[in-house]
Order: sequence, then structure tokens, then C-alpha cells
Amino acid sequence: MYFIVTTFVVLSFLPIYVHTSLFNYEQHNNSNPSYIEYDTCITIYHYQNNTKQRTLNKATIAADTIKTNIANDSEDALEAISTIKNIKLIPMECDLADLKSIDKFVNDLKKANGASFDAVCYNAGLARNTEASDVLRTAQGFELTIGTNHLGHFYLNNLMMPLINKDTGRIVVTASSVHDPDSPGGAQGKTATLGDLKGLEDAVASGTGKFDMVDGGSFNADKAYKDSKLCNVLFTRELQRRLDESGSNIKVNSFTPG
Amino acid sequence: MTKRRSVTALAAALLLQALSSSSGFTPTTSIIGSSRSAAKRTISTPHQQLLYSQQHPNNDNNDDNNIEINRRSFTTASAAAALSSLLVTSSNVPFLPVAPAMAAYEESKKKQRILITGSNSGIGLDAAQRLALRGHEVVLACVSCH
Repeated sequence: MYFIVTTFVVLSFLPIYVHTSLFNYEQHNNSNPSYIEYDTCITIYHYQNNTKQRTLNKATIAADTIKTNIANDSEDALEAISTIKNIKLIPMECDLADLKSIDKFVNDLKKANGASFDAVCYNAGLARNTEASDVLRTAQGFELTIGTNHLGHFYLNNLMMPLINKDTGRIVVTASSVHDPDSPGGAQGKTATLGDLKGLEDAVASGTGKFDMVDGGSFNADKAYKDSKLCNVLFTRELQRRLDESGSNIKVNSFTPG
Repeated sequence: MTKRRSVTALAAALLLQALSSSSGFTPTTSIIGSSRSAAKRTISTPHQQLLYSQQHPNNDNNDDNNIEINRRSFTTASAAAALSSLLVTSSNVPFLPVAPAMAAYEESKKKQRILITGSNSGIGLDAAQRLALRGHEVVLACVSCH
């Protein structure tokens, strides 16, 4: 008997509760567009901006990801949309494992954006599975890890240098502490060393440009990554030294992401 | 996922710090290298000094090269740098104060054009988002999908 009364009381109050919560929802809905509307706005915005571009490359996806992140982090849909419309992101294609792609990228850059940059971040990089034993190569035959992480950026920097603001320019290179054999990460396995660059000399002598390791040793994927990061640090230092000598005010830094 | 994002945010904050650094890579100042020199470097910006002096009220001279700083305080300072740069960019976090020194610094910087390679994921993506939100023009240079 008691149970039936309780159930009756609960059931009779339930519609009121449901109505109240719906009312609250509507109130909330009037002040702020719901997430459904909001997602629709974002989708329409993306649709308007991407219909011309049939093929999506990773840069376009990255720009979309950033806009979506901004939308998801925001509480005010209208504000988010105006922010997304105002931010300036220019997706472009640049494959650091192919010098021709870098050439094309810099040419496109000059056409599309004029000829001045305030800062450049050489941040791209890849690390192969440390157990990998097959040597992958860039389009020019360099070992892929060194070729992308260092040589690609080196080439890109040579092309970019005239475009960087001489007075306030900044260059940042993403390195890693594993370049240092004394660091906890760098001490694991084979440590980074470039030897006397025998690998590179042989590559030049053979005329093919093919090398497995800079020091001329046999391929080790883990060491190749450490070597590439050592190259990044040496590149940073030497570039800064040369810029200082030439009287340029550009500052070059590398950092370890930790 | 949350942990991954926060780690990326921290790394991206380090990148931004390297970007806004007023000095270059000379033999006497190095960001990379031993963790000790990295720690010294990290507390050298005005905001970091402020933070450090708040954490260590009894330590009067922050420029003293003999400051002993352990890994934990280095990590905390880096995390705070990450957080403060987050606060500057996102206005919709009402319960946390915006670091005034950092905000003033950001306001004074003119809008720049910045190229980031490998900005399709991780540090590059996070840094690109932060820089874009601060009004800079960011060129995202990424490989194509094969």
C-alpha cells in the first residue's frame, strides 16, 4: 500500500519536473544557441570555405582542426564564429622529404603571400620505429629521418632566409634532449654521433646521394633520430653564428619539448 | 587524451617561449642542453620571474646565477607558462585570472606572419592555434595525403 502511494506521488510529480527541466532548457536555448545549431553553423562555414577545394591535404585538415578546437573550447557560438572568421590560417603543402616540393612550396609562398616573414618554426619531424631495420629514403635518396628532420629544413631555410625580417626575425627549431648522450633519453641505446661525416662523403663520392647513416655506419633507426636532432642543434648554433657575423639581427633558438 | 593534450600544450608553450625570446642561441645562453641551464633560462622572462618570486618569497635576488633550482620547480614553471599562455588566449575561463605581465607583453607585440612546418599534429598544431588566436597570420606547411 505504501509502495503504491509513493509510486503515485512520484508519477504525479514527474511531468512537472520534466516540464521544468524543459523550460530551463528553452531558457538556456534562448540566451545561447544550442550545440546542435552551433555545430551546424560551423559545418556551413566549413562547407562555404571548402567547396572550391576538392582535395583536402593535411594542412587544410589542420586548419579545420584548429577551427573546430576553437569552436569546441568556446561557450559562445557567435563569438566563436567571429573568431574563426578572423583568424588567419594559410594551409600549404610542403613535403620536406622532397627538395622539389620545398622549391614549389617557397615559390607558391612568394606568389601568395608576398615576401616577408616575422618568424619561422622548423618543427616538422619524424621518428621511425626504433626496431626498424629497412632504410627508407627521401626523393633524393637521403636516409628519411635525417633527410626530413635536418636536410629538408636546411634546404627550406636556405630558400626562406631572404624572406625573413632582418631586424626582428625569429627562427625556432624543434630539437630534443636525446641529441645529448648525457641526458637520460640520449643515453639509451646507441648515442648520437656524426663521426667524421664519412656517410655523407661516400654519398657525394658515389654521385647517388644515398647514405644510411651520417657517420657511415650501418642503419639504426633510433640513432638516426638522435643524429637528426643533434644536426638540428648544430644547425641552430651555426646559423646563429653566421647571422651574427653577417650583422643580421635574426635570432635562432632550438628547444626541447620535454 | 587529457594528459596527452596537456603535455602537447606544455611543449607548445616552450615553442612560443623560444619564439618570443629576445636573445639568440649563443654559447652563453642555451635553451637546450642541461636541464639546469634550461631551468635558468625558463625563469628569465619577466612573467617567470614574477612567478618564481611568488613561489619563493624569501629569495630576493632572482638574477643570481647560483640559484639552485630542481626539476620539479622547472616543470612547474613550464606548466605555468603553458597555462598562462592558455589564459591569455582563451577569454572564456572566468574563474582564473589572466596573467597581467604576459597579457601586456602579448598586447605590445605587433601582428606577425609565421611559418610552421609540421603543423598538422602535436606541438605544431597547438602552437599554430595559439598564435592564430593571438591574431598572427600562420602559414601551415604540411605534407599532403598520399
